[in-house]
Amino acid sequence: MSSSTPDVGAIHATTPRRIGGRRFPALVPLLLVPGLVILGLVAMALQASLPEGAGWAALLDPATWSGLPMAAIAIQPSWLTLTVSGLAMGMMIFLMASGLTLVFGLMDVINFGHGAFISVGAFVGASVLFAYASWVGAPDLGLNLAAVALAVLAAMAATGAMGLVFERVIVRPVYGAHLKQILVTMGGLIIAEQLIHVIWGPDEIFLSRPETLKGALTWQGAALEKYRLLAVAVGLVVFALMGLVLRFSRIGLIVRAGVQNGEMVEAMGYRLSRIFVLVFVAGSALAGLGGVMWAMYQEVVTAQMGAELMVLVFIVVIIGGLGSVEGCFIGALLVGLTQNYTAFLEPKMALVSNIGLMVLILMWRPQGMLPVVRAK
Amino acid sequence: MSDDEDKINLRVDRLAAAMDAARARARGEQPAEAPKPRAEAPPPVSEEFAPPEPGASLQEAGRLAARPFGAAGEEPAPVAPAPEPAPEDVREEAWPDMDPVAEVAPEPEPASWSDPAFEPDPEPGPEADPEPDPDPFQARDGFAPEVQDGDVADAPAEDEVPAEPDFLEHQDAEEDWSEDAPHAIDAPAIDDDAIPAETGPLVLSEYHQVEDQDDGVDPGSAAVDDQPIHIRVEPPVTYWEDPEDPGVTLVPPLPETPLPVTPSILAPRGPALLRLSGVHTDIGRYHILHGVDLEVPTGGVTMLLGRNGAGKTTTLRTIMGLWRARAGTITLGGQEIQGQRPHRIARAGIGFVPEDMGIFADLTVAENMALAARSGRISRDRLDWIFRVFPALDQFWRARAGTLSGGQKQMLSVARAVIEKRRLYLIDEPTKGLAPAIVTSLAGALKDLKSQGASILMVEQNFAVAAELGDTAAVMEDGRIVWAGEMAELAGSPDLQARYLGLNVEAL
Repeated sequence: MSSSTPDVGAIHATTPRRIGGRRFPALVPLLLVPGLVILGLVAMALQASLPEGAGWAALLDPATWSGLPMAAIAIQPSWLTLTVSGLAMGMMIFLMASGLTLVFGLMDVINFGHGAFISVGAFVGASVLFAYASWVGAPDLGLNLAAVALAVLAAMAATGAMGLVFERVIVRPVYGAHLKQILVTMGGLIIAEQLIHVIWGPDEIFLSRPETLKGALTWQGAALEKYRLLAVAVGLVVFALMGLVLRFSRIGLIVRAGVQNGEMVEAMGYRLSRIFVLVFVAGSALAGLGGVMWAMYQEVVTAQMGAELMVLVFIVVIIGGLGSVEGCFIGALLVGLTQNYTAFLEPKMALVSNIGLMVLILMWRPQGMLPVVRAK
Repeated sequence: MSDDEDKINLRVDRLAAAMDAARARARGEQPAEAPKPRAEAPPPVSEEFAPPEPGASLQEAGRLAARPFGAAGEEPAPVAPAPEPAPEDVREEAWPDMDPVAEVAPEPEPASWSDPAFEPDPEPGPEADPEPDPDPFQARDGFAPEVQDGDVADAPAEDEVPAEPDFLEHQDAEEDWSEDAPHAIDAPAIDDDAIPAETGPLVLSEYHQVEDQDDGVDPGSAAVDDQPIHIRVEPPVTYWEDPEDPGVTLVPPLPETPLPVTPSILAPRGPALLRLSGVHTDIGRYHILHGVDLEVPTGGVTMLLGRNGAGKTTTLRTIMGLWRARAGTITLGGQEIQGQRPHRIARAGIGFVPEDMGIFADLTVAENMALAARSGRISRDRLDWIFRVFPALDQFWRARAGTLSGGQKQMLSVARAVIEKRRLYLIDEPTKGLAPAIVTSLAGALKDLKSQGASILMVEQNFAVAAELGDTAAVMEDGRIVWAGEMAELAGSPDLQARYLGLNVEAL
């Protein structure tokens, strides 16, 4: 943003601003996350207060509802655990999906190969953690965090560089052709997976979290895993940083404008393809970060993990609204929370819960919650 | 019964009559009132398709080539081309053996206008011409000598013809016309009855598979008054239907020749800032621009007019690099910009207001403007001026641009283009769909901009606005410029308007 703009704003600070109107509906998705958290509590309490083997008819029984507050207090620790778990999962998915949504919004590129960055990031991070096994194993928070930071940096550097090559070799030749993009980036994903087999071998790799990040804190009777809290913190920091960059830097301004109308940005004299490469590399690096975080979360690394996570990532990108980082953030949290609550309430439903969430949101807003890219 | 209804009925009648005429032509009948242009400037479309008689084709072509210079040949320029077969008739003949794909192949022969040798001498004699311009309509702003010669430079094959004597002849010819009709230099004395305006826009729908008749004539040279003149014989002109969708008729691939532009067809005020010559643009399989020749002078507003679908927006987008020109040259201040990426063209000094305004709806007005100021800083004076002419932007400076009204968005779009000084502004239909009061304020702002010496190329459908703002004008039809000249001339001539814009005077 121009340095003189704030001055201009100061001059005109007294001018009326338009509030309300179209801005309010945009806020509704923000309320979905607390709404879902409360809904989760109600559902869990309801399930707890229902007598064993009771059918749906029990829902009509006032006794069931009168026991709800008590059941809610009783179930609260589990609910808290699940909520933190869902938020942590959501944050990690957000890390992976944020780059993808910007890449799609900015250049209309569907990158099915994004999962490759997740896998590669996980393997690189795992290798670094093995290399610094003594730091990882030491019962010292500083050393542990240093090891994690090294793993994260290495993974992000590797996937960022990989993104640079990927963009040049695989994505650039197929600009503007969606079908080709799907096929070619899918091919890129397969190649990357096989390269992982070549480099790290065909087997899955087990790794353990750093010593001080193992275990859980107990708060209000709820067990909160330390690593999940760390994941939530990392996700929040990255989201805040992305928001700041997008909101207050000139490149962020160009990116936000380019997502809405790239042609016009070019016609204003900005070389969007350069900016796009930058965003692609940054998005790849973030996917690598998400991959490392996910690897330490699951404590196992496989070559297919990226492709498997891509299902969730695409759901998040779609329900968030193409090109929108905020929508992606909200969508990721919704997906994480829904998956965890459903797994608790009705484990068999967990697999379809995210698809169900996507269907509901698309019925409500067919272009996603906060669409930035105009329908093409 | 109101006046409006009268007008509508009148238009419906004219449309019906035109469609009848088209159907009659499709049946191979001669229209009852065949267009027989008597005047010098027939629609160039028809010239291009005027079928030369097999024997006379060389001479015909020679006449066409030489005409822009006043035709040192046996025929004086102002005489109409042999009009017997109405131009449209050629298109009715079936030509079954044609291969459409082959016809699309561009540039079948070295064209003089695209020849690199053509470029080094774009304005052959401005300094060499000591004579003051005798024409009062062109002697404006002291630019007259350059103006004249700049025009000549744009005519085809100019390097083959000695400039000086032809130029003088051309002057004579033009004076003659001026006597004839002082306000109609470019298209003098059009006979209203002879040229029914309605037939113009329907021509495109008439294409079938047809081939021009001068197939087989060798390109060669001829001598007119002992001066060798290279003659370009057009490749066979064909028209074809879309094989996948027989109902849809494609615009035919046209020979890549500049139109035989009459000398006075381009009457710029100053030295040309932007110059398009022979620009062809395809959008997908569709050939939209058929060799656009256009000059935008330095300083002042050039209005690009024409009916819907004539190619005005495509022309602007081609200049901007948003569509790539297949052939032809576009120069900005003497530097070729065709084929460059849009950001390079923008950095060459063009501010662009697209047809859809191109507002970033999720950004605030301030952010929209900050982005438009490429240097990163907004000049306070410039911003004050913008706030003065567009007070709404001041008021909603911090509002999301998507919340602005249509008129305010248009103001923002124009303001973005002018936030920094550019050499040229391309403005595409700024008044489209706006309330009259907003049109007035927008026109006032553009006038203000113009008074600061800006050069503007503007597409405008509101003729009243165009007439008020424009200095020069160019009219497009079917992807090429069919008339160019002073805006005042167009505004003052109902004939020209009826012929090129389909306007009737009462509608104004």
